[in-house]
Amino acid sequence: MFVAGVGVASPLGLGWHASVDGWLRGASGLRPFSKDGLELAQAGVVPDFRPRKQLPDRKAVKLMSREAQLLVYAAVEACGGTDPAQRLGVDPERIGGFAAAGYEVTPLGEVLDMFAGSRDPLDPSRLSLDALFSTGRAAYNPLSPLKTLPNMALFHAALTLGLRGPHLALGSSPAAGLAALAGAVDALDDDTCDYAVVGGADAQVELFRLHYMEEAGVVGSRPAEGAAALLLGDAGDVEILAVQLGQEPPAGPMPGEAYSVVSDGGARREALYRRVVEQAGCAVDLVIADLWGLPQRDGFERRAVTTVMPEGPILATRPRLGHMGAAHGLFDVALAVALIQRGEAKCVLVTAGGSAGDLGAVVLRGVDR
Amino acid sequence: MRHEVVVTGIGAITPLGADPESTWTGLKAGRSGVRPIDRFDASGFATRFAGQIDAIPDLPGPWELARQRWGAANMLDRKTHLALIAARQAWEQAGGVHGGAGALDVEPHRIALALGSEGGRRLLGTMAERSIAQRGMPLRELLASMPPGEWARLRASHPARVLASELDIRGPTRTVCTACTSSGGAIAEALYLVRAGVVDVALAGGTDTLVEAFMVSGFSLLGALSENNEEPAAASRPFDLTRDGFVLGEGAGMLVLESESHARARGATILGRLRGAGLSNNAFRVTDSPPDGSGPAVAMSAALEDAGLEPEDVGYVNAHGTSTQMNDVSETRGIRRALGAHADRIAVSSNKSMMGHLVAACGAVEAIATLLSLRDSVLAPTLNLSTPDPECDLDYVPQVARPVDGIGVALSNAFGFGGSNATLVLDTP
Repeated sequence: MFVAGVGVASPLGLGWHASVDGWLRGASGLRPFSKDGLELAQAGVVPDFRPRKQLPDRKAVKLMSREAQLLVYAAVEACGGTDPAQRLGVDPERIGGFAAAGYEVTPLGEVLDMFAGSRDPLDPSRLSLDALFSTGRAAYNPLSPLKTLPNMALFHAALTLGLRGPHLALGSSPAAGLAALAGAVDALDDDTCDYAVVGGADAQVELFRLHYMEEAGVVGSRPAEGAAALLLGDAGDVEILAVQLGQEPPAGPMPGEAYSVVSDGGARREALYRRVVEQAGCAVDLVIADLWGLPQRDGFERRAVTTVMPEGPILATRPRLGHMGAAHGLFDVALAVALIQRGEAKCVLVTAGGSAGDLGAVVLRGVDR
Repeated sequence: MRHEVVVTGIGAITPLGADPESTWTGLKAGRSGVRPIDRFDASGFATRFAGQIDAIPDLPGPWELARQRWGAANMLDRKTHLALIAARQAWEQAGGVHGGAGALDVEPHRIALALGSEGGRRLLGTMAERSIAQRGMPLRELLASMPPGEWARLRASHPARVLASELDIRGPTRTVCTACTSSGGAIAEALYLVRAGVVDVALAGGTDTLVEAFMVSGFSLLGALSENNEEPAAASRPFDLTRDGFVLGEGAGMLVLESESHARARGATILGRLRGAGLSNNAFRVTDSPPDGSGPAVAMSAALEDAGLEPEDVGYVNAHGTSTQMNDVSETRGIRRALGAHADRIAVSSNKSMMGHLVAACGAVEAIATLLSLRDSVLAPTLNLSTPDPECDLDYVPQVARPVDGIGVALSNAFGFGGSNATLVLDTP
């Protein structure tokens, strides 16, 4: 399985090469953010992203959440245009679409605004669904709630690119990108498609998501937005040797910050990394690790990583990009591809974990020519 | 090595019953689980009925303790509760126990979990209510007024987290979020993992709860729901000329899949075989199916090819059959495109005529109904099909269940918003 194309929209730049160049020159995508009453000391926003100018169908932009806009941008870049079937010479039914799915929160304000005309006439402090059917109906745009469905970003990518093959939107937060990658690899291995577009997108620089990041105790990782996409096929100069998914045990059914705490000291994480490296059969010389800036979690991760690569560089992208949620795992894979292509590494392990205990790990290697 | 994949456990809770057998009994009898909504005041809604689960049964022993533990932490939303009910049934039937594989005889990391689910809908409703109540309050303060853990609890991946924790599943965990295709897609993913030998066992299925004020109002305003309030049981009428929209429902369905070699080695009872799966996207419109049925046809053809079968092997299609004008015509044409002339020799029926649309759970529950149909050689009817639509010109098993002399291979279809399609291929060993 080979990487045949990459697309990225990240706080480091619009486009894969811009993002990688930014990374290599040591730039940070984090900067102060202030908009609509949201003030952040550090956030990662994709620079110069103008969807109506930069996406192929400007009319469709208003039907998309911010997440969908970002994913479409990255997917078009990964495919080298909007008609991959023609470019690759395959039937559209033989190109799959697999994406990390978040709950697309950016249209929430739009949805909430629709309720302005839906007050209870007897008690204006209460929402009246009866009123929604009468006075509020005019303000209701039924397409707005649809924008929040987790599979909508992938749908818009499929529509833009004409992807008609196997299609899966997988939700499990930051590890979802690697879950989508695993799904695509399975589909290609199983010959249910010839090519697969794999993507992840998230837009966390908004109040709603920020509130829940704070509640989950992960605000230290800084909110960010972005998207990454890969085109996978049977040729390319970077090979995906192994992808594995796993599950960590939660500390218990506790809400709030304890949600992301695991109870096994990182043992399953370690076992997963051992398995994926064993399956890959190559000596890892770089790890792009699932480091969030959370002491307990990062301690488990560093220990697990050193079991498969006792010495060697461990990269963490969040300190310079922020936390891109469902896009982050695939951004790290896109960075790994670039570092391999530029001779910075030969065999790279990328790891990702979600706050629900889900884990993913992938090993990539450059192809000798 | 390509492993054959079999089903060794099934579990379901639906508007027709709290387990697979009672659901199947209701389907065979042509009984409707659609009734007036009484869980909240729907009197002002254009649609005031749904496929509602009236009572969720107690769980036994340690399962009940688990339910109480998650519930006490305010981390057990309704969709997770339904998933736990269905998962227990499937897991125990296959030989599993609470907290481990038991007689399933497999290492925890060799078990996968693939679940179709959707998240956040109730959150949207709660936020809408609070945004009205707290008009003028900055959004940050509005959010701070929300119950702690709300986001985590209502996430699509939360049921998978709970099941993985309670069953000690340590292998690949995937939450599929493709609307009405979610659980069909999840079962397909589990099939691929078992077949490729990545794992020996997988728990796969889906859960959803759409009988909520916000969802009923939202889908109604979208113009997608039947408004036949006078006769709720007659409202879901797939393939009928007078159909006027779908009926929302709720439920969960779970299956335990195993490699056939693993199941036989441990002497498990094999309930059926999952021969193949096909997924596709219409790349057409957000809510509309392509009128020519091309996207669904791709999924059906891909599923047959995946199973190494021909259209002539198919005896029955458990249709997505939503009772919307567009879906039923598109599906009919899709079946014709995929099966060709053989489409005139098969039976097709829709469980949604009796249960309503279980959305993220429908693919799993209907796959279970298909397995029981294969087991008993009985085709569940399409209830309320009394006035044939000339555009829907297949044999839909109208009104009354039909005993048959063996079915052969059955397809189970699920199609969803966002253009996703999933078809499963099932038969009996």
